Amino acid sequence: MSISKDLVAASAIPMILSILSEGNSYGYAIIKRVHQLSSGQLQWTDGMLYPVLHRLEKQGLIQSRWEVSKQGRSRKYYQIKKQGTEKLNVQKAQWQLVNSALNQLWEKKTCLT
Amino acid sequence: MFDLKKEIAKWRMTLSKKQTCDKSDLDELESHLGDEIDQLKLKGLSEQEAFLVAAHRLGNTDELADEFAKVNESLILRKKLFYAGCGIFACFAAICAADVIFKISILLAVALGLRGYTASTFGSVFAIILLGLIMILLYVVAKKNDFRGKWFSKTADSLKGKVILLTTALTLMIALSAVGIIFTSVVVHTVGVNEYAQIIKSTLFVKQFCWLIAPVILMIFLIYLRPSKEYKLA
Repeated sequence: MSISKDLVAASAIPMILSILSEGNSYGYAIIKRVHQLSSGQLQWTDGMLYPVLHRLEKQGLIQSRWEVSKQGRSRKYYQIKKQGTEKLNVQKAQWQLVNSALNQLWEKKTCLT
Repeated sequence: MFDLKKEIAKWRMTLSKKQTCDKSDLDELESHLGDEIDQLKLKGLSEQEAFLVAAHRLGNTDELADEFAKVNESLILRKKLFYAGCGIFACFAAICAADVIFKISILLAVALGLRGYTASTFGSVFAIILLGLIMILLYVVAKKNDFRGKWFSKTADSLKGKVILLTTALTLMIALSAVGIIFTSVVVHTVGVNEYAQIIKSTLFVKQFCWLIAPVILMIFLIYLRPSKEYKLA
């Protein structure tokens, strides 16, 4: 199923913030997690994640640090900040509100049949 | 023979040429590419296949560059201002150099014992010839060294490079100005203020011509040094 661009864009930030609130991570791992969570349905263009991450960092919601893995690969790890957690909670509330409203409408429909 | 390192470097260069990502951005994307390639190789793809799939998944370089441009606005502006500043400095240095060339010519004329219109004519002709020789010298240098534009952007990328460029430019300008002042003083000392004023009056056009032509020569030189469309790797 192809997801509309707007929906992907809108859900990107709460998704990234939620994944980071599970623990520190780096770009590639975040993409793989999204992939796993959506059973492969959400296919972000990998590279587009990074401008989003940088924007979040500029807004002070996350911070980054370079680390070198045992295999010698340097990766930029991101960590959610307090402001990020606050923003996430706000977005979560918004999504849950919208979701609840939609669910009520859709549940109603199935009841009629 | 498929050379993974070379292909990755080429891919990085394509993105880097768009001038919208800084080194950290490129490192991060390259690291991602590497991770994806490793994963794909584990699944059994060849190096070449893994690279192609990974690069495709990472996204179209034009679109990526555009997205990064939105996030790196201030960085890009600072880069543009830096290049503009360099241009202004270079122009100024070129004019300083042209002025010194002109003063050398006058000094030479005076030193040879010439006076009046002979001195001015000799000085003017000599200055033009000297400028012409410098043009030829620049052409030879540019043709010989194949550093077409790569050297400048490589140096200008690091902070250390920027400082070196700036210091060199400033030192050059101060040195040239100092030389100019010394030459003028020597001429005035040799022939007196009145004679000096005469020479200056009769060489006004040539002097202004030297001043105007110097930045033009510099521009032609820089245009000649621009990287060709087929930007080959170092």
